[in-house]
Amino acid sequence: MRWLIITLLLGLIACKKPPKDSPPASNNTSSPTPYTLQLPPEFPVMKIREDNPLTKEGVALGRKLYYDVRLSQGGPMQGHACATCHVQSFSFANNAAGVSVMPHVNLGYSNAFLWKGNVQGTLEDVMLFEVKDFFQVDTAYLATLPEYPPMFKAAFGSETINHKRIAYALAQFVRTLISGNSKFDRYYRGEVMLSDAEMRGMMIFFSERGDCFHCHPLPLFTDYEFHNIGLDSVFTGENQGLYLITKNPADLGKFRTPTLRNVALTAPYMHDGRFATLQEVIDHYSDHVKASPTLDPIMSHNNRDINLRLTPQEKADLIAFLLTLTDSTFINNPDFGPPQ
Amino acid sequence: MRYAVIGTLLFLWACKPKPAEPPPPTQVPLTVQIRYEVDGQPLQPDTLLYTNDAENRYSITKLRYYLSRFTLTRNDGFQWRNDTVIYMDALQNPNPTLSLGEIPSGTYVKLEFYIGVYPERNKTGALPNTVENMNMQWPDAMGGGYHHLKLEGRYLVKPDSTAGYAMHLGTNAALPQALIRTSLNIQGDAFTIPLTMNINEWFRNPYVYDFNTKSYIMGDTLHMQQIAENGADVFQIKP
Repeated sequence: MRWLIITLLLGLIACKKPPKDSPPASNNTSSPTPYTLQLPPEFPVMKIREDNPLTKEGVALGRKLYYDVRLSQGGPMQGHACATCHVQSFSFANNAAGVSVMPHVNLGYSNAFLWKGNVQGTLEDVMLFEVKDFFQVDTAYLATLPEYPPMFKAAFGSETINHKRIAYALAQFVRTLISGNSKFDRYYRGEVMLSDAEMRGMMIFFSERGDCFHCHPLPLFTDYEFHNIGLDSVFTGENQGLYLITKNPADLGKFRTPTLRNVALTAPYMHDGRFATLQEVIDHYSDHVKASPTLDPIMSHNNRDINLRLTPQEKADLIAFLLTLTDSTFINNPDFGPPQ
Repeated sequence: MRYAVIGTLLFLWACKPKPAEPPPPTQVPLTVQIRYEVDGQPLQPDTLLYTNDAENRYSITKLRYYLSRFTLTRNDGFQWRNDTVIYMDALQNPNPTLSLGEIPSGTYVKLEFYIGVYPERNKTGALPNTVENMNMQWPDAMGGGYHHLKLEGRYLVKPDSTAGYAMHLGTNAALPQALIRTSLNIQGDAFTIPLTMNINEWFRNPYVYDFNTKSYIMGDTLHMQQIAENGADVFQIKP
């Protein structure tokens, strides 16, 4: 009987609810605050690595590092930060003549990075490449800057600064660079109308007439894949593209598809910046595509004509549509600009 | 007294042992194993290895499609159906095993499925928002929904020169449906149906397809329907 009473009492104690104001068992005042990514409803779910969840402190640290030229102190890119080449007003690309920088827009969906796919994996992987190999960040130097150790502690739980943590913080910030509020997006949501020229351009874009949609599908306007779009018929040097990484002859002349979101801001165009204007880009697809054994099959239209042969009116309409992909809220978003 | 006798007789009749009934069918986990070949040759990307019935020498650079609505009909008429839509990329994953849930045991005589997205689901936005599904969208301006199939590659036009071909199917009017008459005795702890796609069948029966005549069919309803019809027997059960 005594044992029965003891057992019942123990059971009651075990079942007793904790008082409402009890702190969670794992409460830690230094835990970073979860950051909820705001994605437009039509966007895919973004996969985020379990070992690098988005947090407010991590994003803030990544943003500071992104804009801090001290990141490159002592390295081959001394005096540069990420933001030196990835400028917000140019959709995190760069309009310097002859330089073609891939924009940091909706990059969290990608699993291959840079024009030739030099880095495969996630944003963390490409940022680790940038930190270790491109900038060759001096972590000991960063640790001497008084603002950083507390920021690393807030983001990752301790003041330790290493390449991986820098890369992870940068990945968190870049993952937040979401553009999905262009005039086209507002049209798609039924909020505004497109002009006649924009509508005609949209029909060219999303039909076999222009056949742009296969490599630049909705809603991200990139398929994140590699294609040879007929820029050259003979491939040497950097123009060999993905082949330089894979050594597979089938990959000669293939480059990663850039997003067309904010494309009006991201000149010059193509991997080598050979086209200065959208007009030149469309002229290429219309009249100057070059045949080669790895030309994307999509570009081989019937009767083997690899050029679209657009009329001047169609070209103008297509450009009018492309201009609707400019997202001014993105390029003016203070959360993406230099930290104060 | 008379009622008591009748009542007793009814009671005894009700309690009479019934003749033994067959045991109810058990649930069997069902999987489908997919393989690819071109008339017996293994699938090898980016290589001008294959010859179709029109004697086009060709390569395969992309083979992406959906499988959906697997339906099995038992010899007693019972029909089992699974409405899952499965994205397939033959070059990325050439040997996948697809889990279709559980099916009641029995002898099944007919296997049907769509090579594409079944009609009620073939609407823009109906599939989960993944990058793969986004890349398979069929533009709203051309009817909406998804590509059922993207089969692309290159073919020889002269001994030293190639051109591209792109067999893209979309819209409910060009949705391939496979039908395989068979006898599958589905029993035991698990059952796997081995299915092999012979890619040359897309270009053969009933329409012999020549890339020199037509190398790009998206938006061309007649040719899309012909390829879709050819698709009815691209899959065969092949252990």
